[in-house]
Amino acid sequence: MSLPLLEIRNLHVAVDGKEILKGVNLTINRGEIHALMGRNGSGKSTLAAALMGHPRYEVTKGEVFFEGRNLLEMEVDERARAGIFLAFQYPVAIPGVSVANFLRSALKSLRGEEMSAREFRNALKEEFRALRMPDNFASRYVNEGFSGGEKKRLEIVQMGLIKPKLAILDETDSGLDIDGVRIVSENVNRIAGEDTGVLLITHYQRILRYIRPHFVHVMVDGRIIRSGDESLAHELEQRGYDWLLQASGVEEKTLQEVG
Amino acid sequence: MGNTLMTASPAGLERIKTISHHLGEPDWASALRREAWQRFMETPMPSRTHEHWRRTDISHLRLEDIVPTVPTRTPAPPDWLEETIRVGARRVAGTLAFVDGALAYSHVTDSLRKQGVIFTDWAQAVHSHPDIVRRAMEQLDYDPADEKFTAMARAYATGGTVLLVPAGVRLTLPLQTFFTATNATAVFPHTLVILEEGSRVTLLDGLLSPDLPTRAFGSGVADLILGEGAELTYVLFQQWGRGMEYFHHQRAVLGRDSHLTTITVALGASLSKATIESVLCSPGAVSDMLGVVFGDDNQHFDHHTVQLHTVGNTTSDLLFKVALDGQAYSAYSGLIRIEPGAQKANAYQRNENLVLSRQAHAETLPNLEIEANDVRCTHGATVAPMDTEQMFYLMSRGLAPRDANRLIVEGFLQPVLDRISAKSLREMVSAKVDEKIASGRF
Amino acid sequence: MATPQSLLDVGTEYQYGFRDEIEYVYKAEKGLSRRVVEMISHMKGEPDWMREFRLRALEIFLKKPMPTWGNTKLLSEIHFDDIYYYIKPAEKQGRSWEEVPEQIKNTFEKLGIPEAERKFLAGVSAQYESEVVYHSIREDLERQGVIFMDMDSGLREHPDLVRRWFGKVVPPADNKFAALNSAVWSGGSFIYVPPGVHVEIPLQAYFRINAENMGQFERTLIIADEGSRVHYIEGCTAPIYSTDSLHSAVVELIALKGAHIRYTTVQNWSKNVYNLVTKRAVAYEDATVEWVDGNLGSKLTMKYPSVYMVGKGARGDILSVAFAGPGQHQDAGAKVIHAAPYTTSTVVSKSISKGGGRTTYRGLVQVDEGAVGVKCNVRCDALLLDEFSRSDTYPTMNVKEDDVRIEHEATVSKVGEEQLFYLMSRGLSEQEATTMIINGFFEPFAKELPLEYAVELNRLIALEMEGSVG
Repeated sequence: MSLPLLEIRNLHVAVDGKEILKGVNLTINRGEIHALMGRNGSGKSTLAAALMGHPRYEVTKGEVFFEGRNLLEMEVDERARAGIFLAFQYPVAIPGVSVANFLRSALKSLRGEEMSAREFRNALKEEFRALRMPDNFASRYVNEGFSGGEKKRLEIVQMGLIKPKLAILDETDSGLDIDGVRIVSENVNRIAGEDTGVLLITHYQRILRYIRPHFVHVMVDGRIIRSGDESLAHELEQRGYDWLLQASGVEEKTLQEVG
Repeated sequence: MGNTLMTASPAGLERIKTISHHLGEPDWASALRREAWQRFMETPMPSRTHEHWRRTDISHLRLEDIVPTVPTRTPAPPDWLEETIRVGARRVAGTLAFVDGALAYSHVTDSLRKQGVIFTDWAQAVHSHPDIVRRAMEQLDYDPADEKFTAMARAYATGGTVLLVPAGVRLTLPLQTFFTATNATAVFPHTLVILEEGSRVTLLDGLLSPDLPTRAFGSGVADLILGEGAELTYVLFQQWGRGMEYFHHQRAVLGRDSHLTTITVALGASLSKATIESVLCSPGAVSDMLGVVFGDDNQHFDHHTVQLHTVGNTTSDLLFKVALDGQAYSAYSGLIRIEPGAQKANAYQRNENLVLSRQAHAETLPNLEIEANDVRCTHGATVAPMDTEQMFYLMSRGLAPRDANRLIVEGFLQPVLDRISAKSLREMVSAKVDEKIASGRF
Repeated sequence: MATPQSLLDVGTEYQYGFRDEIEYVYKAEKGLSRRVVEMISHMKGEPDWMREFRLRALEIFLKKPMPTWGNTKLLSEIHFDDIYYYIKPAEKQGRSWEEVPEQIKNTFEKLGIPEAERKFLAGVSAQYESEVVYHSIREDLERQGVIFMDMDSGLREHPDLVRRWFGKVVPPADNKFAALNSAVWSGGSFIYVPPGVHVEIPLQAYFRINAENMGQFERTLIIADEGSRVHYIEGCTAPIYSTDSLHSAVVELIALKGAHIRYTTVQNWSKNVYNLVTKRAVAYEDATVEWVDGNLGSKLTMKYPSVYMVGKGARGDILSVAFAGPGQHQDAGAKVIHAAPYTTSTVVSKSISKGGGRTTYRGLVQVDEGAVGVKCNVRCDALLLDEFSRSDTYPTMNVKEDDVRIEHEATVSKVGEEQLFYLMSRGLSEQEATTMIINGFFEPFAKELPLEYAVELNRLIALEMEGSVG
């Protein structure tokens, strides 16, 4: 198949009536790792939430295709079943629902059939081991009382079980210490393998040392203003965003408004 | 109790005529009084079995036997009151003071007058602004649970404030009103506040007196009407002397995008029962409701708050802090009510009780009635003694237990007082609260 | 498969609404009178004091007005003259299921009781209409002196013990429905656990109403002697009729020094049953009483399990869960009375309203003078699943002592949008996600139930949630 995995055309998204994304274009093919960088408030997380179909994020214009299917017509769970996975920046707690119960139900829904208890237990155990998390997390309530780092690791445990076609990692590196970033990155690389498309959202460079992107995009004020290869990230690291802004002719003033 | 009409003395009605005549009220005003009186007489005395009256015993009251004093022409404010007025005078835009229902002092800055703000007493307002007052009065509702008392207050009202802020007028300096009793054995203060679109003001309503030689009775009402986008901070400061048994009903109606902050400070009276009600009937309305109660000896407080959300996209937030010493008793009951269809209403309610003595007695009943689902409503209540860790910490820094105690009580109540943004009022109220805390055993 | 599914059903697809055509051994005339009360007492061959107790209670019932709070409208629709106050279904009580009349046995088979008994219970009592028709207790417990029998047998075989405690925790004058129960009570459980004996496996009672316009008035008395432990579970169902039935029980628990009683209820009456129950416990020094109270069925439930902590160091824990669907009002709650120093209590209330249903939490925390060092924490959470439903919270905290810590928190909300999004982003449909969140919401209750019940609870919630979304 020659269809791209994900194709975003001129996407505009508003939250509570305020336009945040102002025309995003991006194509991701199987096996490609794309890093999306930008300052806080530039619209990166909005893109992630909109791709997953969060009800508060209203697409006002543009198109998104996933393997040629119109993504914007799909419900949140349909998108998940289609193969999209979002590692949340702030995963919510679901009191009373154990991790095991949740994931077993999710896998059943994604695969359309139930895994045997043993198979599931083993798979979950394996992922916990890979993310250096104790097994007893299986019986804890989803994200309840978890530290910031534990929540992020649990997101990757889920990614490992679900094995998506497209993984959107929203600031997965924040809240993790150095070892955490390394462990999470190694696992993302392992799970993604050759075929998974990855959209890695970050405003730090450190995770890019472990997950090496094929493409780097910089988002400012709801638009991707520059795309390049890995060297763009290095350049950003050395010269900062201001360099890029000047180079692209974007005024500092508009930036401040965005915050 | 049941057949009030039979036992009723017509003295009340006679007295209304005298008062109306004495004040030279127009016919419509005396008609409103008579109507209210009729209602007062027809409404039975609330029964103790009524949920709203379960915690305050009023069986000794013979309301029909109480008649208001006819206000005398020119009383002078007592020295202590003059002192209170004088201290804040420079930093307020207007002051009214009533003694036994008669206006005893009035000062309004020129700038206030120029901006078209009406800040005057009832007797004056019914003459100078009959349309506004009449229209507002005719629209007022009676809360069924308090009807006996509010009707009585409206029938017998003598003295009290009318404040009208015209559209767009935003006052930076606050206004203050004081209402005191010296010889009168019954007082009936009435406050009417109307904020037109986009206006802003802070008003302190002070009800205060020294300890009274005999038993006294009071029933007051405050009606607050906020137009679109109006902002009102209303401080009810109650420091009646011992001997007073005071009943109060405050009702605010909030227009679209208006913002009300009410701060209720209750320190005085032997018995005090008050209902503080906010009706959020237009989208965007916000009501912040705060309260401070400090009781000692055998004072009895009964506060009832109502956060009534009749439409959605409205917000209310309530914090009532109660500190009790001696054999004092406080009942706090609060109702958050979200009516059907009032989606996206948010309501919060918190009551904290600090119990300082073994004989003190606190009751708290924070109630929720929710009939819409897309809402967020939370309430909380605590009852706790003085925190020994805090005491330990302060004493380890060298404070005597007495001072540490006082500091903790002040610290407990202060966050509410800090919400009075007008500095002069905040200082005055804080000083009086601290004074009462210090005058006790601390 | 007959898991004890019997006990739980949350509504629209009520599975236990079937009815039996039964020839009753005895059916009293409809309505309440001195004659009916005397007849019940006579048929049971009761001692004089109990007959007198009943008749006194009848007078109190007739004099007492209906409650002026709660759902007064629904209460006013009860027709006391149109109720059968006593129906005797079988000649004698079975000690084995073979001795139980065929039709009644089949009913309990359908409800899964015998199987549950084999699997995980230490004793079972099954009441049909007014009388207990089956009763068993494991021999080892009997050998240790544990008494578990129906209340009528208790009165006959242990008259002194019964007379000492009966009506002492809930006196007939306590409320109108306690008076009614005291006048016409029949059946229920009597349990005595000797000092130091731990009954680790639950004892269970099952209550079934079959007849139309039936009034069931069982009476339960549990005495846990010093240092003993016992866990008692009750469940209930009824057929669906167009007219209403009345269930008005009185439950009295006595936890003597250091004893531990846990009392679990899974109330799943059909939606034409009035469930007006008085449940109260007394906890002596260092004793613990736990009420685990689930209300899923009935038309109107008014029930506020209480713990009176009268001895130093006593503890009361109340977990109350309610689900109100269309036409239902669950007016439930908890009362904790701290009458002694260093007593502690926790109350957790969880409720869900759906399809116009109404849930009410009504609670009392009282701290008496002299009860220093008291700690109490109350937490109420309510979920509203649609805009037609209603949730009320009416807690009262009455504190007459200063050295105490009382906390109360309550929230009312809808199912969180962020939670839904998170679960759906992992592939769950909106309905599955909602069901999962609700199961999680009820988890604190479910985890207190024996596993078989908890599984069933989740299954029934899923059933109830079907078609409720989108």
